[in-house]
Amino acid sequence: MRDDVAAEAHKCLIEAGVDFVACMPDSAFLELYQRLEADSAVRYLQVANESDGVGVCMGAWLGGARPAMLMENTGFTLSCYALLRGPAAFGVPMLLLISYRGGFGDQRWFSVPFGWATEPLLRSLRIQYSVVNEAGDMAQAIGGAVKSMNAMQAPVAVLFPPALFSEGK
Amino acid sequence: MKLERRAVLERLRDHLTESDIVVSALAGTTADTYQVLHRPENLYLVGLGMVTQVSLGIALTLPDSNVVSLDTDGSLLLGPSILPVVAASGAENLRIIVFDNEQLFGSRGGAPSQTAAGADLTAMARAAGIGRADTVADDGGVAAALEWLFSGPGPSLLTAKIALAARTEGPSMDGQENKYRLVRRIEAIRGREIVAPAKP
Repeated sequence: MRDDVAAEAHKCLIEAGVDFVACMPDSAFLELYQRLEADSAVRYLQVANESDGVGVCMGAWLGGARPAMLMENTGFTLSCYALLRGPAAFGVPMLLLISYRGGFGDQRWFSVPFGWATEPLLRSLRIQYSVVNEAGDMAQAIGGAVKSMNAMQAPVAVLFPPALFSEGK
Repeated sequence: MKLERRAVLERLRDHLTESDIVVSALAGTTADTYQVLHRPENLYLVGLGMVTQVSLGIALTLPDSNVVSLDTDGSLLLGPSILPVVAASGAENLRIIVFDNEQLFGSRGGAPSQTAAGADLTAMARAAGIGRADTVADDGGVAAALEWLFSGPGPSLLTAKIALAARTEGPSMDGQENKYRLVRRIEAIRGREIVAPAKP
């Protein structure tokens, strides 16, 4: 992720009250999760599987935190069971920050199918989402998502397309 | 004497305070927990592969409460990747009991789980880095095993090798009602609002 984008995302997450982050590290989010891990205002937990991260975020919200889950869209597909069984069925808010592999402009052939699937999957899971195209859109996207997740008592998502990644990531 | 899940749950009550949280797996585990140990601090998760996951999240955000994960062999085998995360998290207030009846949907006579073929959940937990992991397989050992589970800092994990049992009646509320009841209880424990809808 570009440094300016990571810095803006970090600032917006803190301003929105996010204080718990579960992360399945991927190279697109490297600059962001390093910032979050180093921030003492955030309880940061690295998971080994995106489904696990959704479960942990659900528990963190029940315990009183305002959680976000960082993951690549490849791993988002893996987390669909947990999202339906947990947050969707129980009505538990969480913010999903998803790097949009296979999005417009991504030349990696093996990512393309995930580009096809990501937004249709979000819609089928009834998860409201927005796509951030510029760092300047971040405050509206993240701030709005956190307000919506609390009002809806449901997960919401923000997608980060390849134009926001660092070169070569 | 073969170990009964309900006997473990009956003894578990003695180790819980009013600020401790219990998260139970689906089917027979939730039904027996509801029958034997129903309390406002319970979450009847009704989900496989996310019981210890949700419990860990609560434990990390509610450090002054013990959080008890009532997991199962089928559930933990679906999501064993949580074990090294539990170990690395340092969640000292997380206590995990894995009810292992060696069968999938055991209360309805399902297929054997891989623990029937030798998979050892306690050994898996230890290999993942959870140093305090043990197994109890007979009724006479339950009291001491629970004493051990709650003594000292966690995370700790106890595999209870239990007998098959018929399904009892589960909770009469859905997950959303359970969520609101539990969250209001946790708000009282924490002294801070969690669900605060905007005023119309």
